[in-house]
Amino acid sequence: MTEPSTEPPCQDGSIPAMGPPPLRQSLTLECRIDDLVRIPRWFEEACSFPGLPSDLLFDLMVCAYEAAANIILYGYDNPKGHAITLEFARSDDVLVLSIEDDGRPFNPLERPEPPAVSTIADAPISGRGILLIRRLSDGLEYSRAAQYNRLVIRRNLVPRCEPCRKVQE
Amino acid sequence: MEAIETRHGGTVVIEARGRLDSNTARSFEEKLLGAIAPADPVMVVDCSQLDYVSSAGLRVLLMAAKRVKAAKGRLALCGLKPHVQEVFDVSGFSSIFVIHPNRAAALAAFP
Repeated sequence: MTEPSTEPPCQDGSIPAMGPPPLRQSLTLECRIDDLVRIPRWFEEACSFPGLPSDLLFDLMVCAYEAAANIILYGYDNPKGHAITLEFARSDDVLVLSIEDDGRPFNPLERPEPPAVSTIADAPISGRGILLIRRLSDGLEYSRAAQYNRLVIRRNLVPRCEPCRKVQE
Repeated sequence: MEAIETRHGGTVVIEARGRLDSNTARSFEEKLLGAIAPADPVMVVDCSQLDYVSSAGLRVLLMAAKRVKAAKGRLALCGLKPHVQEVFDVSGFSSIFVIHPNRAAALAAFP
C-alpha cells in the first residue's frame, strides 16, 4: 500500500486513517427515473467502509445521482431498455466513481460554468446538476469509446476546508 | 416524500419531508406552487424533515421563489439539515434564499 498524500489541498485538512483493503463495487441501473432511488441505497450498503467520512461518500453519491439523472433525462430519445453502469473503487487516498451509458455523446466538462447569481430574479431555473458534480468532486474525466460515454469522478480522501466547497462570490 | 401545509396567521408553511429529488420533484412542485397565494404571498418552507435535495428539488424551490417574488410576496426556508445545507452552499442557493435556523425563527421574521 502506498502512503497517503502528505499535502492536503487545504491548510486545515487532515488525512483519515485508512485500514481496509481496496474496495470495488458496481451497480447497473435501468434508465428510469424511479430506478435512481437505488443509488443512495447502494452507496450506503455497498460503498461505505470503516473509517470513511460520511461527508465524502455523500458528495460522491450526489455526483452519481445528478450524472445518472442527466443521462436518463437527456441521453436518449427513448431511454427504455437502456442501462447505466456505476463502478465505485477506493484506493488509499481517493474514491473513484465511473459512470457508463450508451446514450448520445455528452461531455459535461464542455458545459460552461453557470454565472454566479446574487438574486432570485437573476438565477436560472436549471443547470445545477453539473454544477453540483463539479463542486463536489476533486477531478472529472470524460471519454467516449465504442458508443459509450464514460464519466470518471474522483473524490480525494482528504477533507477540504469549507470555503473551498462554496461557490466563490 | 410528503408536503404538509399549515397556516400560521397569514403565513403558509409547507413542511417538506423525505427526499426532494427527480422522483418526487413533480408532485412537490404541484403542492408548493399550488399553495402560493396570487397576491402578497408569505411562505415558509420548513426543511427540518427534508433528508435530501437534488438539483431537481433546487429547481422547484427556485421556481416557487420566483413566483412569490413576482407576486410581491416573501418566501423563506428553515431548518436545513447538514447535507441539504451543503447542497445549498455549493449551488450558491444559500446566498440567494432567506434561510432561518428553525420554523419559529422564520415565523418571527414574518410579523
